[in-house]
Amino acid sequence: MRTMWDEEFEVVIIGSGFAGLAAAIEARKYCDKVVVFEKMPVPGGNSSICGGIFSAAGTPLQAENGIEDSPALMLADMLASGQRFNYPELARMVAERSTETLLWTIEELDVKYQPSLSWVGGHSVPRSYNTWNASGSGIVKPMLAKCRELNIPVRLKSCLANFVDDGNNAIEGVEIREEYIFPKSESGTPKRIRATRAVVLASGGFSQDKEFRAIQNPRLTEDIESTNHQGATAESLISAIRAGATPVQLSNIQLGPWASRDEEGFGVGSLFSMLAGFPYGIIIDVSTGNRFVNEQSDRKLLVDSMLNLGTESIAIVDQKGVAYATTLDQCLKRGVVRKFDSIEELAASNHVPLMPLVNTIKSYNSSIEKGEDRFGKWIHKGLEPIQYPPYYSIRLLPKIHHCMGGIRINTLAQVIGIDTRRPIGRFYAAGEITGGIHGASRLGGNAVPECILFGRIAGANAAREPLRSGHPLSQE
Amino acid sequence: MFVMKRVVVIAIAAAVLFCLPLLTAGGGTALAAPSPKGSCKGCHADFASVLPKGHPAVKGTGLAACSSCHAPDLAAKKPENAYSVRMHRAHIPPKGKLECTACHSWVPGKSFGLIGRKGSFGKPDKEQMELLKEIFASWASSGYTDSLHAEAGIACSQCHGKGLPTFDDTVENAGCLKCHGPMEELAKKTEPKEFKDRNPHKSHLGDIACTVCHKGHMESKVYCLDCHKQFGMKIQGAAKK
Amino acid sequence: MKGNDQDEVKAGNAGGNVGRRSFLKGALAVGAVATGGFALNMAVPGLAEAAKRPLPKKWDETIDVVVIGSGFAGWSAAAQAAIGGAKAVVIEKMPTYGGNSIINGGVYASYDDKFHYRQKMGLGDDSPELHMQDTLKGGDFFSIPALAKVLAEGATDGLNWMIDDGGAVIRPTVVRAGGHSAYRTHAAGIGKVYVDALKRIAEKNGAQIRLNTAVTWIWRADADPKSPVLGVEVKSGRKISNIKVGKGLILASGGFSRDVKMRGDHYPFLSGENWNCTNHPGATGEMIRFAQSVGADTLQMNYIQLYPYADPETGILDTPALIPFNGPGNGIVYVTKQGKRFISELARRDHVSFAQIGLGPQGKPTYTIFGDDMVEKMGFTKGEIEAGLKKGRLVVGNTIAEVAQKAGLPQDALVETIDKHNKYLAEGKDPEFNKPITKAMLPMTKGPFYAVAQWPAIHHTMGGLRINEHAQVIDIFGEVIPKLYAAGEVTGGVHGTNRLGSNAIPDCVVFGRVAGRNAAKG
Repeated sequence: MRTMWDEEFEVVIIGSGFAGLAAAIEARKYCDKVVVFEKMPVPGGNSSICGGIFSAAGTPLQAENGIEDSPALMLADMLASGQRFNYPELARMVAERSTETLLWTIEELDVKYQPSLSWVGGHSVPRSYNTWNASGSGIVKPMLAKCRELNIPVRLKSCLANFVDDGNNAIEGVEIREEYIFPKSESGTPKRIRATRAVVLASGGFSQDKEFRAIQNPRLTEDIESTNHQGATAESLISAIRAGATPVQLSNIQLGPWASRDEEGFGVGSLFSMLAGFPYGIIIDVSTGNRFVNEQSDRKLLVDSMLNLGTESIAIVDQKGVAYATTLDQCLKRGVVRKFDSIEELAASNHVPLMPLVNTIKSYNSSIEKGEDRFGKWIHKGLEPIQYPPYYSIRLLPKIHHCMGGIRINTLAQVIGIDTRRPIGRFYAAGEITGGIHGASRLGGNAVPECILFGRIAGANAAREPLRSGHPLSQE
Repeated sequence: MFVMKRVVVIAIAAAVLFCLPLLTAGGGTALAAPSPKGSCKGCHADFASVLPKGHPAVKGTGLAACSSCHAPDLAAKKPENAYSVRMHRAHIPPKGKLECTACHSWVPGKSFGLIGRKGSFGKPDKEQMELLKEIFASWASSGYTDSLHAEAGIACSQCHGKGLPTFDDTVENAGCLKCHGPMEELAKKTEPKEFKDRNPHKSHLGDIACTVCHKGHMESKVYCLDCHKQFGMKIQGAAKK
Repeated sequence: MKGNDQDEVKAGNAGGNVGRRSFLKGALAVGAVATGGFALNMAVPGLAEAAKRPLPKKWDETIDVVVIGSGFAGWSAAAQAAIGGAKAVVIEKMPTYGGNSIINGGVYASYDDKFHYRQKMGLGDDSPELHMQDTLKGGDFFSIPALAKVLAEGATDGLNWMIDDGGAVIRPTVVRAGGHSAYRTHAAGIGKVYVDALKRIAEKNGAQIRLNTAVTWIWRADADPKSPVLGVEVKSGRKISNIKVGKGLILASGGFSRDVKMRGDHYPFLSGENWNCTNHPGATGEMIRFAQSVGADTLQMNYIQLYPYADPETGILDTPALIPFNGPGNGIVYVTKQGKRFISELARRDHVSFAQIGLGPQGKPTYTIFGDDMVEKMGFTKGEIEAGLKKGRLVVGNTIAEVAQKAGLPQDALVETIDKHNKYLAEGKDPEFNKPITKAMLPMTKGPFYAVAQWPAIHHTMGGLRINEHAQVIDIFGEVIPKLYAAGEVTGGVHGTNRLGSNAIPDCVVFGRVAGRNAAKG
């Protein structure tokens, strides 16, 4: 018998986004040697570039604002937008422990949030916190600081090449390519890393994997943009399947309806639409000047409506509504959002037929007065008619945003094997790499609590696995 | 077409095996004193008393005497064999306690015959012998299709068409239809008055094997009921008596 | 540590045209690199040495083309493989042949047929291109276009083949079914007509079948893309034996609608025992899981279809349950227990199903109302209607009010609904549900009229094994698994999120033929 480990840790974590870093921080509570591998040259993955929206039910800010909410209501919202694809037991955990997870980021990590709540599409009530800088980096950076404080190495340019099993239905370690240069598969040097307790896979989704995503949803052709960072590819998912993990619901891939046609990726426009344009404004078919959907629908419904339309659409908001936008200045600077003194100018510039648009706004405003909207938008006290210039518009383009599918885990974040339907030993997963929590469509702001919650669960359980014995680094 | 009707009939629950300690190979643990090989007298001191009324006088008290008239059906030609059935059912559990080898000569893997007579029914090895014992036990008293046939005086070979059945043996539809057929007649008999198409012998599944429902050595089950739970069809040999 | 790192190095340094995932291929690092004749089993990583299954050292027999499953796809594949000169054997785990196919409703979508019924009846235009577009649209564009194209283009030839060579008899009509934009659905009464035709062609050409024979494992040495499928382990009665595959293994084992656990794995809403199911009890998913365990990729596994019109009591798709599906193009009307319409009768299956589920449990069942003059146009016989009446599945009345009374529906409401619908047909416009009105839709003015109760039951699994247009199974690395083919419901990606009714048989027949032809080539 020859052993071939180059290095050993107690818990090995793949991926340095919310889930991976949460797993690392939590694992460190129970054991000493924890390591995080990240294939990209920078840490944080998609988590650093996301909008930093954190949805939770029963939060202090809701209490302050007199908003009645409950985990049960949040779960009901998740199941409704998930179109019954969600695993109820996992979705329930996200809803029930969302506030606990939010408070953890505040108390443990000292994450700073903005003082007001957002109302994001598909949620029945305002329940979304925003990080102080309107970016996930507002959470990732404190997490990285925590890792430094806890002496958890985050090794960059280290790509997972394979899982290594122990010959007894459990994972014993990983093969990593060190000094890996994304996306060159042949780059770097292979190294065998042993995990004497467990491996946690937290490598995110595959929105940027043009080949892989088109297998599951052929309409997502190469030319469709994604809000994700370039590293959001599928190799680690394939490795996990190769190691026996069960792939589930891979065809549930979400497009973000709020992304801008005038910038790449998630950019700054997405948050503008999400926080101001949709909840406080209207979405218009540019060819007709008409509304066609409840702007506060979940993402799938919005995207499906936009794609079925087959034409371009824009979101319009006035001076009052724009107050909810956290990224207005950057949007205006980059030309993603444009400002007009009158509806006439807005219509002309966006090539929208004027009279229909004016009528649409009129009818929308009257539905606010009546308290009833023909598209089912919930008319609430904070909603005002669109009548206060200047007016703002953003050109919309659905972009691939999130993979709801992934590998099957149980409530302990253990990876479930194909055919055996039992957990694979010492193998945990958390975050976007897992599947089935959000069903057909994830609600905005639900990824952050999910990633952090299951990251922590995975980390804690991984670190509490019994220590493997032996002298793995010795030869013969 | 040929293969389709071939259906494995030999699949007996292992439990049967354990119910029958008396039949374990090699004997030795039989409760009653085994009779001298090939002789009836050890048990039936008054041999004449076990003969049916009006049976002609028998010279001798051994198997050889019986088989001089009741010749063993080595070639499996007789349509019925009431003698064989009666002899077996009287001597094996639950009625009797005899080991096979009380009457049969057996050289494992080589021959299996009757003590005192030439000729062999087949060449069962130890494993097959175990199987035969299981099947005989079922055949004698199970309440399944096999014992229903036994009660009618039908011995193994009349269905299986040869001396000794073996593993993965089959019964062809043609074998069943020799007595129960033709299929059209059978279908007429089982045609429900109300719903003529609810007829298991005219199934929409096509030309199916009789043994799909009528199991030889295990519980018979109406296959239709797997889907059509409300049909409430009955079948003979469905359960132990 | 067992293993063979030379293999690893080789895989890593394959050089030349390696894709960016090349370093993943073949091996699960050290553990599962099959050496010394162990079988690949990805389901259990690093299976303990003691529990590892060695590849068979000796094969009990070798068969050119082994086909798993005896439905439309299996028989088509076996027939075509036998025609191609291969020895083909169909392995069927159930005691009867035909699986779900033999109890299928017998509807077959094809733009044409040898009798040209659509053209003769003046029912408009159609083309393979339009059929393909409908298929893509009906599945929310999740179908792989290349696969949908193979289906649409091969459907007519497959149908004529069964008629000409297999003696299949189809009814002299075509109907327009939900989600289809043309009158292209052919009827044969029941799927058995096609199964028997295909079986005849297959057996005529020398293919054989073994019933009561279940596959218990697929043998493959490792996950290297060059590593072919070697054979299968089968269990028949007490006997376990190993069959070596000479030219190809064709999986045509159907879907997993009856696999309660697997349903829950992929679509939690449909988990549990409480759903009715139109399928035969053998419709379980072990072949998909075995194939996954030897490296096959799956796709769109979470799309599971409900049949909106099954018998509400049993979930069975009997002849009366076929009427609501066949009839929309002839003017049938769906109504709730309140006697009101609730959806366009030409809507897709998933839409109709969820419209019913949306009514809540107290909304069960809904009804289809139709007139006597539609019966034969929908592809049914008077005899079938009489049988349905006798069984109590249908009720009949000389007036709509009488039908309502017998079905337990409010009479006034139903009369009003049908009157309104008659008016829509006359005006050529359905302002309530926007159903496209055609001339073939008959108003219900003269009795007798009928009603049949309906409710959704689990029916079809759209997801499954990933194949290419040659019916070759693709592995998780995107490469063909040598000698492994799949066709029919066991595959995924042909129908997207929602299969259009009457697309299943052409899918099975066309891809079964493709698989059989290619497998025979070896």
